[in-house]
Amino acid sequence: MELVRLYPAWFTTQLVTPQVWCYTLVPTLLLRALSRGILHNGYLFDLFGVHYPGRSAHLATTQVNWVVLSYTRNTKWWISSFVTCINSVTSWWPSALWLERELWEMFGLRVEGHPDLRRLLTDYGFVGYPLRKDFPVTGYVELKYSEKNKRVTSSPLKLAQEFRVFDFVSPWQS
Amino acid sequence: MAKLKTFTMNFGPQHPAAHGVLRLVLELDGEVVVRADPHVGLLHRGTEKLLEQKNYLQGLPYLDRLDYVSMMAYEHVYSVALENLLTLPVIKPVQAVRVIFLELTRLLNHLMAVTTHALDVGALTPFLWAFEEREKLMEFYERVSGARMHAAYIRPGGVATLPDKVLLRDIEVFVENFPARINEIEEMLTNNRIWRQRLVDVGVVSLASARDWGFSGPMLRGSSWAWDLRVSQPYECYQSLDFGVPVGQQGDCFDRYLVRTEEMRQSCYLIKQSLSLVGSNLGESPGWSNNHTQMENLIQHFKFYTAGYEITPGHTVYTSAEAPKGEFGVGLISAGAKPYRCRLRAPGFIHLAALDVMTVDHMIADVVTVIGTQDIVFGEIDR
Repeated sequence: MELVRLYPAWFTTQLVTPQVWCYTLVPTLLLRALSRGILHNGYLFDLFGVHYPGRSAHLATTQVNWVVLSYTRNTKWWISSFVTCINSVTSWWPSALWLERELWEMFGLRVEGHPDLRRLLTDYGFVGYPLRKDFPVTGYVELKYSEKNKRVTSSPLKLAQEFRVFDFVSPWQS
Repeated sequence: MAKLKTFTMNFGPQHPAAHGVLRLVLELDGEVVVRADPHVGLLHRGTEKLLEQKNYLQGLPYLDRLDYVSMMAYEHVYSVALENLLTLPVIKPVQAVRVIFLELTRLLNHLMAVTTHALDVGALTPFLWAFEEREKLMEFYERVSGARMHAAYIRPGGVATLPDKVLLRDIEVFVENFPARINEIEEMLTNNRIWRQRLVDVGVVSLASARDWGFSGPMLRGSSWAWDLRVSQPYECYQSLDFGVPVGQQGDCFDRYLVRTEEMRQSCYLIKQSLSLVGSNLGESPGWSNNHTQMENLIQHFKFYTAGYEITPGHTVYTSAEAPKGEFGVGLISAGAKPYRCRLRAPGFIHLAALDVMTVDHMIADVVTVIGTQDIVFGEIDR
């Protein structure tokens, strides 16, 4: 908790312990402080993005969240930041290797200094960033086995009926 | 001297020892692994994307389909995440029921993990025995939820239906007999010469590298770090239960095998205690019976189930719990009736990323051992 006392301006919200949530403009600086055991002995637990396309044009639309676990403090730090590009943390946390690959592939976010930035979960030759809000849930292509070519081929998606969204108005407002 | 070239080989995606659809590109120097590059995603269904399309309750069954050998553990974390978002309390007897089924799930998973590992390494018999036991466990699933595997039983706020007394008694009988089954499996494996030759000092992970690679669950405890969320950040009624956390010493595959078998014993112990906690407390939970006898309550119940409920947009929560494979985390960001984003942190994904460092300089046969010890299930890795 020293970090909160040292830099109170960094921390906008604090959830119940054992979790600290913080929004920062300088994620790399904070992550470095958490990793090096200067303030805490943290390990990268999770890394994920959230896409907010509605933000105004000159702002970054992707929010990146790092979850850093400190075993000795029994605390999870949730650091989030709106960025257009992140610095790789693989050099001090190798667990970021796959997490950053996934982030890049799902959101198209540039990761500086990643040693092996390849597509991970999607198909070979996949185009697009699936977890962005403007990517349709049905995708753009469909795969089928072609008897003629004796292999699986992809073609543009043709749906027999429009994709339906059942968005009922809930009377149970919170 | 002529320069030696390495030999590249595909392991999987249809190899039975790959535990599902893992395509592993191995670079070999003779029989020694120089580099292992897992290609995953052959089972990618876009669960995180799909969860954004459904309301909170409709999304729950997707969680069963992540790790399809420990179903309830995953839906439990999602339920707890929603409870945290809604600040919903869960009553004590229901917490105990949850613990019973969470620990039965741990047995379900570890039986699979240990014995398919044994099968890959060459011991068929324990596998057959364990699947007999798994059949009984899945019968408990079926009796409480109607489904053998994808139960959708643990729901936000509680459980779908409370188990009846006969079922609880049968679980008690099962738990009484089960440690003997673990002993049988251990008799076949623990001092077996082949099993030891294949596991001891194979896939050694030092404590430092286990933490750097983000390991959790038996993979971390095998490397002598006693970290268990059930103890360090207790949820449900774990703080009132008495159990031990087994840890390994060497961090090799054999230690992780021992950790898993001991965890099964501790689970039996936990189930016994929870059964006595449930004991006579299990009545109709308040408000439930009215749903089916009073018109207004039925309407309200129906509306909740069909239209779902709204949560103020922008609320965020990150919840994790000790799933059988490690720490499973759910990050939820609310947006009205549906999640805006639901992040699923699968422990297997993190473990598989370290497959390269675990198998380098090992023989190709040890790759199978390491895949087995990681307890890989592709439902959760590919999501």
